[in-house]
Amino acid sequence: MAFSPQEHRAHCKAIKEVLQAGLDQPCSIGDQTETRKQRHLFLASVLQNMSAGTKGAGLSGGIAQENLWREMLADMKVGFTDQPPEGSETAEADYYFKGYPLSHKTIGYKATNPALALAWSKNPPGGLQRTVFTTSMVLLNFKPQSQRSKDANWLEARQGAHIIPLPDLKEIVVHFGSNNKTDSLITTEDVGKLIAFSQDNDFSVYFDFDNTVGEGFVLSYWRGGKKGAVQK
Amino acid sequence: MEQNNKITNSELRRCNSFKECISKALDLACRVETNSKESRRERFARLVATLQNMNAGKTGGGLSGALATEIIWKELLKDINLEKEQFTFDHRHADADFSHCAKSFSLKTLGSRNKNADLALAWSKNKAGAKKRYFQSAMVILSFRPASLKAKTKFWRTAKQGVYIIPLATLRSTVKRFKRNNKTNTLIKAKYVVKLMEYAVSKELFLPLEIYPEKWADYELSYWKGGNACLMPKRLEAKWV
Repeated sequence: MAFSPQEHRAHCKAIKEVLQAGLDQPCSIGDQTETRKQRHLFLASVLQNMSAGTKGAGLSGGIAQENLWREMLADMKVGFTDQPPEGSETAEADYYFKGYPLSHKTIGYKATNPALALAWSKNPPGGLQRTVFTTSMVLLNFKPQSQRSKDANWLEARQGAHIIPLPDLKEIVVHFGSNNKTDSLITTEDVGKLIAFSQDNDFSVYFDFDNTVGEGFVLSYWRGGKKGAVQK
Repeated sequence: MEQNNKITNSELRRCNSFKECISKALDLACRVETNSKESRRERFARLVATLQNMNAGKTGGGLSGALATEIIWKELLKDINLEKEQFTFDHRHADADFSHCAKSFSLKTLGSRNKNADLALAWSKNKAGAKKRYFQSAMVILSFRPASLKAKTKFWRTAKQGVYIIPLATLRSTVKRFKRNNKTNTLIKAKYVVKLMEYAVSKELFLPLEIYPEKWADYELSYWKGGNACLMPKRLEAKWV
Protein backbone atom coordinates (compact mmCIF):
# COMPACT_ATOMS: atom_id res chain seq x y z
CA MET A 1 0.00 0.00 0.00
CA ALA A 2 1.60 3.27 -1.08
CA PHE A 3 0.50 6.39 0.77
CA SER A 4 1.34 10.00 0.08
CA PRO A 5 3.03 11.97 2.90
CA GLN A 6 -0.32 13.65 3.61
CA GLU A 7 -2.07 10.31 3.86
CA HIS A 8 0.56 8.98 6.27
CA ARG A 9 0.10 12.06 8.46
CA ALA A 10 -3.68 11.74 8.30
CA HIS A 11 -3.48 8.10 9.40
CA CYS A 12 -1.16 9.01 12.26
CA LYS A 13 -3.40 11.87 13.37
CA ALA A 14 -6.39 9.51 13.41
CA ILE A 15 -4.42 7.01 15.49
CA LYS A 16 -3.47 9.77 17.94
CA GLU A 17 -7.13 10.76 18.34
CA VAL A 18 -8.22 7.17 18.88
CA LEU A 19 -5.49 6.63 21.47
CA GLN A 20 -6.30 9.85 23.26
CA ALA A 21 -9.96 8.92 23.58
CA GLY A 22 -9.44 5.23 24.28
CA LEU A 23 -6.93 5.66 27.08
CA ASP A 24 -9.40 7.62 29.20
CA GLN A 25 -12.25 5.16 28.74
CA PRO A 26 -12.98 2.25 31.11
CA CYS A 27 -11.37 -1.10 30.38
CA SER A 28 -13.57 -3.52 28.41
CA ILE A 29 -12.24 -6.54 30.27
CA GLY A 30 -11.94 -7.01 34.02
CA ASP A 31 -12.46 -4.16 36.47
CA GLN A 32 -14.51 -1.66 34.47
CA THR A 33 -14.19 1.09 37.04
CA GLU A 34 -10.59 1.45 35.90
CA THR A 35 -9.60 3.47 32.84
CA ARG A 36 -7.23 1.89 30.37
CA LYS A 37 -4.66 4.54 31.18
CA GLN A 38 -4.83 3.71 34.90
CA ARG A 39 -4.48 -0.03 34.33
CA HIS A 40 -1.76 0.35 31.75
CA LEU A 41 0.35 2.71 33.82
CA PHE A 42 0.04 0.61 36.96
CA LEU A 43 0.96 -2.67 35.20
CA ALA A 44 3.75 -0.88 33.30
CA SER A 45 5.15 0.36 36.59
CA VAL A 46 5.16 -3.17 38.03
CA LEU A 47 6.99 -4.40 34.92
CA GLN A 48 9.53 -1.57 35.10
CA ASN A 49 10.29 -2.37 38.72
CA MET A 50 10.59 -6.10 38.01
CA SER A 51 13.18 -5.52 35.31
CA ALA A 52 15.23 -2.90 37.12
CA GLY A 53 18.80 -4.01 37.76
CA THR A 54 18.40 -7.47 36.23
CA LYS A 55 20.95 -8.66 33.67
CA GLY A 56 19.48 -8.72 30.16
CA ALA A 57 16.22 -7.33 31.46
CA GLY A 58 16.22 -4.42 29.03
CA LEU A 59 15.18 -6.71 26.21
CA SER A 60 12.70 -8.88 28.13
CA GLY A 61 11.31 -5.80 29.89
CA GLY A 62 10.86 -4.08 26.52
CA ILE A 63 9.02 -7.10 25.11
CA ALA A 64 6.79 -7.31 28.19
CA GLN A 65 5.96 -3.59 27.92
CA GLU A 66 5.18 -3.97 24.23
CA ASN A 67 2.90 -6.95 24.92
CA LEU A 68 1.07 -4.98 27.59
CA TRP A 69 0.60 -2.04 25.21
CA ARG A 70 -0.78 -4.38 22.53
CA GLU A 71 -3.23 -5.85 25.04
CA MET A 72 -4.35 -2.34 25.92
CA LEU A 73 -4.84 -1.55 22.22
CA ALA A 74 -6.83 -4.76 21.72
CA ASP A 75 -9.01 -3.82 24.70
CA MET A 76 -10.06 -0.65 22.86
CA LYS A 77 -11.74 -2.75 20.14
CA VAL A 78 -11.38 -0.01 17.55
CA GLY A 79 -9.32 -1.77 14.91
CA PHE A 80 -5.86 -2.41 16.39
CA THR A 81 -4.68 -5.89 15.43
CA ASP A 82 -1.57 -8.06 15.18
CA GLN A 83 -2.67 -9.37 11.82
CA PRO A 84 -1.64 -7.61 8.61
CA PRO A 85 -4.18 -7.10 5.87
CA GLU A 86 -3.51 -9.52 3.05
CA GLY A 87 -0.42 -8.67 1.03
CA SER A 88 0.62 -5.63 3.03
CA GLU A 89 2.88 -7.04 5.71
CA THR A 90 6.12 -5.16 6.28
CA ALA A 91 9.12 -6.51 8.18
CA GLU A 92 9.04 -3.63 10.65
CA ALA A 93 5.35 -3.64 11.56
CA ASP A 94 4.54 -4.71 15.11
CA TYR A 95 0.81 -4.07 14.83
CA TYR A 96 -1.77 -2.46 12.58
CA PHE A 97 -4.57 0.07 12.93
CA LYS A 98 -7.31 -0.73 10.43
CA GLY A 99 -4.65 -2.20 8.17
CA TYR A 100 -2.18 0.68 8.59
CA PRO A 101 1.18 -0.73 9.80
CA LEU A 102 3.00 0.64 12.84
CA SER A 103 6.33 -0.24 14.40
CA HIS A 104 6.63 0.06 18.15
CA LYS A 105 9.58 1.16 20.30
CA THR A 106 9.75 1.56 24.06
CA ILE A 107 11.99 3.86 26.09
CA GLY A 108 12.18 2.70 29.68
CA TYR A 109 11.82 4.85 32.79
CA LYS A 110 15.48 4.47 33.67
CA ALA A 111 16.92 4.69 30.15
CA THR A 112 20.05 6.81 30.42
CA ASN A 113 21.03 6.66 26.78
CA PRO A 114 17.79 6.09 24.90
CA ALA A 115 19.03 5.05 21.48
CA LEU A 116 16.76 2.68 19.55
CA ALA A 117 17.45 -0.05 17.01
CA LEU A 118 15.53 -0.34 13.78
CA ALA A 119 16.53 -4.02 13.60
CA TRP A 120 18.73 -6.23 15.75
CA SER A 121 21.24 -7.43 13.19
CA LYS A 122 24.70 -6.76 11.83
CA ASN A 123 24.85 -8.02 8.30
CA PRO A 124 28.21 -8.24 6.52
CA PRO A 125 29.13 -5.67 3.86
CA GLY A 126 27.16 -6.55 0.76
CA GLY A 127 24.44 -8.24 2.80
CA LEU A 128 20.95 -6.91 3.38
CA GLN A 129 21.20 -3.67 5.35
CA ARG A 130 18.10 -2.80 7.40
CA THR A 131 18.55 0.95 7.36
CA VAL A 132 15.42 2.04 5.54
CA PHE A 133 12.20 2.82 7.37
CA THR A 134 9.07 1.31 5.85
CA THR A 135 6.55 1.98 8.63
CA SER A 136 5.36 4.84 10.80
CA MET A 137 6.41 4.53 14.42
CA VAL A 138 4.80 4.62 17.86
CA LEU A 139 7.40 5.58 20.44
CA LEU A 140 6.28 4.86 23.98
CA ASN A 141 8.35 7.02 26.32
CA PHE A 142 8.39 6.33 30.06
CA LYS A 143 11.55 8.39 30.67
CA PRO A 144 10.72 11.38 32.85
CA GLN A 145 11.63 14.88 31.76
CA SER A 146 14.94 15.97 33.19
CA GLN A 147 16.20 19.51 33.60
CA ARG A 148 19.72 18.12 33.58
CA SER A 149 19.63 16.99 29.97
CA LYS A 150 22.13 18.74 27.73
CA ASP A 151 19.99 18.15 24.65
CA ALA A 152 17.26 20.76 24.16
CA ASN A 153 14.86 18.21 22.68
CA TRP A 154 15.26 15.88 25.63
CA LEU A 155 14.67 18.77 28.03
CA GLU A 156 11.19 19.05 26.54
CA ALA A 157 10.51 15.35 25.90
CA ARG A 158 7.41 14.27 27.82
CA GLN A 159 6.21 10.83 28.85
CA GLY A 160 3.63 9.45 26.46
CA ALA A 161 2.97 7.78 23.16
CA HIS A 162 4.63 9.73 20.37
CA ILE A 163 3.60 8.90 16.82
CA ILE A 164 5.96 9.69 13.96
CA PRO A 165 4.65 9.45 10.38
CA LEU A 166 6.89 7.56 7.97
CA PRO A 167 7.91 10.52 5.76
CA ASP A 168 8.98 12.55 8.79
CA LEU A 169 10.80 9.58 10.27
CA LYS A 170 12.82 9.28 7.08
CA GLU A 171 13.56 12.96 7.02
CA ILE A 172 14.74 13.17 10.62
CA VAL A 173 16.79 9.96 10.84
CA VAL A 174 19.25 10.13 8.00
CA HIS A 175 22.25 8.36 9.55
CA PHE A 176 22.29 5.26 11.71
CA GLY A 177 24.76 4.47 14.45
CA SER A 178 26.35 1.10 15.25
CA ASN A 179 27.04 -0.90 18.37
CA ASN A 180 27.86 -4.54 19.06
CA LYS A 181 24.28 -5.65 18.41
CA THR A 182 23.06 -3.59 15.46
CA ASP A 183 24.08 -1.39 12.56
CA SER A 184 20.75 0.41 12.47
CA LEU A 185 20.88 2.39 15.68
CA ILE A 186 18.73 5.51 15.92
CA THR A 187 20.91 7.76 18.05
CA THR A 188 19.76 9.37 21.30
CA GLU A 189 19.94 12.76 19.60
CA ASP A 190 17.66 11.62 16.78
CA VAL A 191 15.21 9.98 19.19
CA GLY A 192 14.99 13.38 20.92
CA LYS A 193 14.26 14.99 17.54
CA LEU A 194 11.55 12.43 16.78
CA ILE A 195 9.78 13.11 20.08
CA ALA A 196 10.10 16.85 19.54
CA PHE A 197 8.58 16.50 16.07
CA SER A 198 5.66 14.48 17.41
CA GLN A 199 5.02 16.93 20.24
CA ASP A 200 5.29 20.02 18.04
CA ASN A 201 2.90 18.60 15.44
CA ASP A 202 0.25 17.25 17.77
CA PHE A 203 0.95 13.57 17.19
CA SER A 204 1.57 12.84 20.89
CA VAL A 205 -0.66 11.48 23.63
CA TYR A 206 0.70 12.27 27.07
CA PHE A 207 0.58 10.49 30.39
CA ASP A 208 2.20 10.92 33.76
CA PHE A 209 3.97 7.73 34.65
CA ASP A 210 4.67 7.22 38.35
CA ASN A 211 7.27 4.48 38.63
CA THR A 212 6.71 4.04 42.36
CA VAL A 213 3.13 2.71 42.21
CA GLY A 214 4.31 -0.74 41.11
CA GLU A 215 7.06 -1.06 43.70
CA GLY A 216 6.84 -4.16 45.83
CA PHE A 217 4.72 -6.08 43.32
CA VAL A 218 5.48 -8.64 40.65
CA LEU A 219 3.45 -9.90 37.74
CA SER A 220 3.74 -13.65 37.49
CA TYR A 221 1.87 -16.24 35.47
CA TRP A 222 3.34 -18.91 37.74
CA ARG A 223 2.01 -17.36 40.90
CA GLY A 224 -1.33 -16.69 39.27
CA GLY A 225 -1.90 -20.43 38.98
CA LYS A 226 -4.77 -21.21 36.62
CA LYS A 227 -6.28 -17.74 37.01
CA GLY A 228 -3.66 -16.06 34.83
CA ALA A 229 -4.68 -18.13 31.81
CA VAL A 230 -7.76 -16.91 30.02
CA GLN A 231 -9.73 -18.28 27.14
CA LYS A 232 -9.03 -16.48 23.88
CA MET B 1 42.20 -18.00 28.40
CA GLU B 2 43.37 -21.49 29.24
CA GLN B 3 40.46 -23.82 29.74
CA ASN B 4 40.27 -27.17 31.45
CA ASN B 5 38.20 -29.37 29.13
CA LYS B 6 38.43 -32.59 31.12
CA ILE B 7 35.25 -33.48 32.89
CA THR B 8 35.74 -34.27 36.55
CA ASN B 9 33.72 -36.56 38.79
CA SER B 10 32.95 -33.54 40.88
CA GLU B 11 31.32 -31.73 37.97
CA LEU B 12 29.32 -34.78 36.93
CA ARG B 13 28.17 -35.19 40.52
CA ARG B 14 27.03 -31.58 40.69
CA CYS B 15 25.18 -31.81 37.38
CA ASN B 16 23.53 -35.01 38.63
CA SER B 17 22.61 -33.36 41.87
CA PHE B 18 20.83 -30.61 39.92
CA LYS B 19 19.01 -33.22 37.84
CA GLU B 20 17.89 -35.16 40.92
CA CYS B 21 16.64 -31.96 42.54
CA ILE B 22 14.50 -31.05 39.51
CA SER B 23 13.36 -34.64 39.05
CA LYS B 24 12.00 -34.86 42.61
CA ALA B 25 10.56 -31.37 42.69
CA LEU B 26 8.68 -31.48 39.39
CA ASP B 27 6.05 -33.96 40.53
CA LEU B 28 5.30 -32.23 43.80
CA ALA B 29 2.47 -29.73 44.12
CA CYS B 30 3.25 -26.07 43.47
CA ARG B 31 3.90 -24.13 46.64
CA VAL B 32 2.32 -20.94 45.36
CA GLU B 33 -1.36 -20.64 44.42
CA THR B 34 -2.11 -24.02 45.94
CA ASN B 35 -5.88 -23.84 45.38
CA SER B 36 -5.50 -25.11 41.84
CA LYS B 37 -3.71 -28.31 42.99
CA GLU B 38 -1.30 -28.46 40.11
CA SER B 39 2.03 -30.24 40.19
CA ARG B 40 4.99 -28.15 39.14
CA ARG B 41 5.35 -30.30 36.03
CA GLU B 42 1.72 -29.66 35.06
CA ARG B 43 1.94 -25.93 35.65
CA PHE B 44 5.26 -25.53 33.84
CA ALA B 45 4.04 -27.57 30.86
CA ARG B 46 0.75 -25.68 30.71
CA LEU B 47 2.35 -22.23 30.85
CA VAL B 48 5.13 -23.03 28.40
CA ALA B 49 2.73 -24.69 25.95
CA THR B 50 0.47 -21.64 26.05
CA LEU B 51 3.44 -19.32 25.49
CA GLN B 52 4.64 -21.43 22.57
CA ASN B 53 1.22 -21.06 20.95
CA MET B 54 1.10 -17.33 21.61
CA ASN B 55 4.42 -16.70 19.88
CA ALA B 56 3.88 -19.11 16.98
CA GLY B 57 4.25 -17.61 13.53
CA LYS B 58 5.18 -14.13 14.75
CA THR B 59 8.25 -12.24 13.58
CA GLY B 60 10.67 -12.38 16.51
CA GLY B 61 8.41 -14.92 18.20
CA GLY B 62 11.26 -17.36 18.73
CA LEU B 63 13.19 -14.91 20.87
CA SER B 64 10.10 -13.68 22.74
CA GLY B 65 9.01 -17.27 23.38
CA ALA B 66 12.44 -18.22 24.67
CA LEU B 67 12.62 -15.20 26.98
CA ALA B 68 9.13 -15.90 28.31
CA THR B 69 10.02 -19.57 28.86
CA GLU B 70 13.15 -18.53 30.74
CA ILE B 71 11.00 -16.43 33.07
CA ILE B 72 8.68 -19.40 33.74
CA TRP B 73 11.69 -21.66 34.37
CA LYS B 74 13.04 -19.23 36.96
CA GLU B 75 9.61 -19.10 38.61
CA LEU B 76 9.67 -22.89 38.82
CA LEU B 77 13.07 -22.76 40.53
CA LYS B 78 11.84 -20.07 42.94
CA ASP B 79 8.87 -22.29 43.79
CA ILE B 80 11.31 -25.11 44.60
CA ASN B 81 13.29 -22.65 46.72
CA LEU B 82 10.28 -22.30 49.00
CA GLU B 83 10.98 -25.81 50.30
CA LYS B 84 14.71 -25.34 50.58
CA GLU B 85 16.81 -22.48 49.22
CA GLN B 86 18.91 -24.09 46.48
CA PHE B 87 18.80 -21.75 43.52
CA THR B 88 20.24 -18.26 43.18
CA PHE B 89 19.99 -15.77 40.35
CA ASP B 90 22.86 -13.42 41.11
CA HIS B 91 25.88 -14.48 39.11
CA ARG B 92 29.59 -14.07 38.87
CA HIS B 93 29.73 -15.61 35.38
CA ALA B 94 28.57 -13.58 32.37
CA ASP B 95 26.78 -16.50 30.73
CA ALA B 96 24.98 -17.78 33.85
CA ASP B 97 21.21 -17.58 34.21
CA PHE B 98 20.90 -19.40 37.54
CA SER B 99 22.98 -21.37 40.03
CA HIS B 100 22.20 -24.57 41.89
CA CYS B 101 24.16 -25.00 45.11
CA ALA B 102 26.76 -22.51 43.81
CA LYS B 103 27.17 -24.24 40.42
CA SER B 104 26.22 -21.89 37.62
CA PHE B 105 24.15 -22.83 34.58
CA SER B 106 23.14 -20.99 31.43
CA LEU B 107 19.69 -21.73 30.04
CA LYS B 108 18.87 -22.23 26.36
CA THR B 109 15.50 -23.08 24.87
CA LEU B 110 14.53 -24.92 21.70
CA GLY B 111 10.89 -24.21 20.97
CA SER B 112 8.25 -26.64 19.77
CA ARG B 113 8.46 -25.25 16.23
CA ASN B 114 12.24 -25.11 16.10
CA LYS B 115 13.69 -26.42 12.85
CA ASN B 116 17.33 -25.42 12.99
CA ALA B 117 18.73 -26.01 16.45
CA ASP B 118 21.50 -23.39 16.41
CA LEU B 119 22.05 -21.70 19.76
CA ALA B 120 23.94 -18.53 20.64
CA LEU B 121 26.19 -18.14 23.64
CA ALA B 122 25.53 -14.39 23.58
CA TRP B 123 23.66 -12.07 21.26
CA SER B 124 26.39 -9.63 20.26
CA LYS B 125 29.02 -9.04 17.62
CA ASN B 126 31.99 -7.41 19.26
CA LYS B 127 34.75 -5.91 17.17
CA ALA B 128 38.02 -7.72 16.59
CA GLY B 129 40.20 -7.23 19.64
CA ALA B 130 37.25 -6.59 21.96
CA LYS B 131 36.37 -8.92 24.80
CA LYS B 132 35.70 -12.47 23.59
CA ARG B 133 32.92 -14.57 25.04
CA TYR B 134 33.61 -18.15 26.10
CA PHE B 135 31.83 -20.79 28.16
CA GLN B 136 32.00 -20.17 31.89
CA SER B 137 28.93 -22.09 33.05
CA ALA B 138 27.39 -25.50 32.48
CA MET B 139 24.29 -25.43 30.27
CA VAL B 140 20.69 -26.52 30.52
CA ILE B 141 18.93 -26.98 27.20
CA LEU B 142 15.14 -27.03 27.49
CA SER B 143 14.06 -28.73 24.30
CA PHE B 144 10.41 -28.75 23.31
CA ARG B 145 11.17 -29.66 19.71
CA PRO B 146 9.19 -32.82 18.97
CA ALA B 147 10.76 -35.82 17.25
CA SER B 148 10.05 -36.07 13.54
CA LEU B 149 10.57 -39.05 11.26
CA LYS B 150 11.31 -36.59 8.48
CA ALA B 151 14.28 -35.02 10.29
CA LYS B 152 17.61 -35.23 8.44
CA THR B 153 19.55 -35.76 11.64
CA LYS B 154 19.07 -39.15 13.24
CA PHE B 155 18.93 -37.67 16.74
CA TRP B 156 15.87 -35.54 15.93
CA ARG B 157 13.93 -38.55 14.64
CA THR B 158 13.61 -39.91 18.16
CA ALA B 159 14.55 -36.95 20.37
CA LYS B 160 12.55 -36.50 23.54
CA GLN B 161 11.32 -33.22 24.95
CA GLY B 162 12.90 -32.31 28.24
CA VAL B 163 15.83 -30.99 30.21
CA TYR B 164 19.31 -31.71 28.85
CA ILE B 165 22.17 -30.90 31.24
CA ILE B 166 25.58 -30.27 29.71
CA PRO B 167 28.66 -30.02 31.95
CA LEU B 168 30.99 -27.08 31.35
CA ALA B 169 33.94 -29.26 30.33
CA THR B 170 31.75 -31.01 27.74
CA LEU B 171 30.72 -27.66 26.27
CA ARG B 172 34.33 -26.60 25.97
CA SER B 173 35.55 -29.86 24.47
CA THR B 174 32.62 -30.35 22.06
CA VAL B 175 32.08 -26.85 20.67
CA LYS B 176 35.43 -26.42 18.94
CA ARG B 177 34.51 -23.27 17.09
CA PHE B 178 31.77 -20.71 17.20
CA LYS B 179 30.13 -19.75 13.95
CA ARG B 180 28.73 -16.35 13.22
CA ASN B 181 25.59 -14.92 11.71
CA ASN B 182 24.14 -11.43 11.46
CA LYS B 183 23.27 -11.34 15.17
CA THR B 184 26.12 -13.06 16.97
CA ASN B 185 29.72 -14.20 16.73
CA THR B 186 29.16 -17.02 19.19
CA LEU B 187 26.80 -19.32 17.37
CA ILE B 188 26.76 -22.95 18.46
CA LYS B 189 25.92 -24.84 15.30
CA ALA B 190 23.12 -27.40 15.27
CA LYS B 191 25.54 -30.33 14.84
CA TYR B 192 27.27 -29.39 18.11
CA VAL B 193 23.92 -28.91 19.83
CA VAL B 194 22.99 -32.46 18.85
CA LYS B 195 26.33 -33.78 20.18
CA LEU B 196 25.76 -31.97 23.45
CA MET B 197 22.25 -33.35 23.80
CA GLU B 198 23.41 -36.86 22.93
CA TYR B 199 26.09 -36.57 25.59
CA ALA B 200 23.48 -35.57 28.18
CA VAL B 201 21.39 -38.63 27.30
CA SER B 202 24.40 -40.96 27.42
CA LYS B 203 25.38 -39.75 30.91
CA GLU B 204 21.80 -39.82 32.20
CA LEU B 205 21.80 -36.06 32.49
CA PHE B 206 18.45 -35.89 30.77
CA LEU B 207 15.03 -35.49 32.31
CA PRO B 208 11.82 -35.88 30.25
CA LEU B 209 9.50 -32.88 30.40
CA GLU B 210 6.81 -32.86 27.75
CA ILE B 211 4.50 -30.09 26.68
CA TYR B 212 1.31 -30.39 24.66
CA PRO B 213 0.69 -27.07 22.85
CA GLU B 214 -2.43 -28.36 21.08
CA LYS B 215 -4.12 -28.94 24.46
CA TRP B 216 -3.84 -25.24 25.28
CA ALA B 217 -4.59 -23.82 21.84
CA ASP B 218 -7.68 -21.96 23.08
CA TYR B 219 -5.90 -20.20 25.94
CA GLU B 220 -3.60 -17.23 26.31
CA LEU B 221 -1.69 -15.70 29.18
CA SER B 222 -2.59 -12.10 29.82
CA TYR B 223 -1.65 -9.70 32.57
CA TRP B 224 -4.23 -7.31 31.15
CA LYS B 225 -7.14 -9.75 31.17
CA GLY B 226 -6.02 -11.69 34.24
CA GLY B 227 -6.92 -8.74 36.45
CA ASN B 228 -5.26 -9.10 39.83
CA ALA B 229 -4.76 -12.86 39.49
CA CYS B 230 -1.14 -12.48 38.43
CA LEU B 231 -0.32 -9.50 40.62
CA MET B 232 1.49 -10.46 43.80
CA PRO B 233 3.63 -8.88 46.47
CA LYS B 234 7.31 -9.44 45.74
CA ARG B 235 8.01 -11.41 48.90
CA LEU B 236 6.49 -14.84 48.35
CA GLU B 237 7.24 -16.09 51.82
CA ALA B 238 4.92 -13.56 53.36
CA LYS B 239 1.75 -15.17 52.11
CA TRP B 240 2.05 -18.32 50.08
CA VAL B 241 3.95 -20.80 52.19
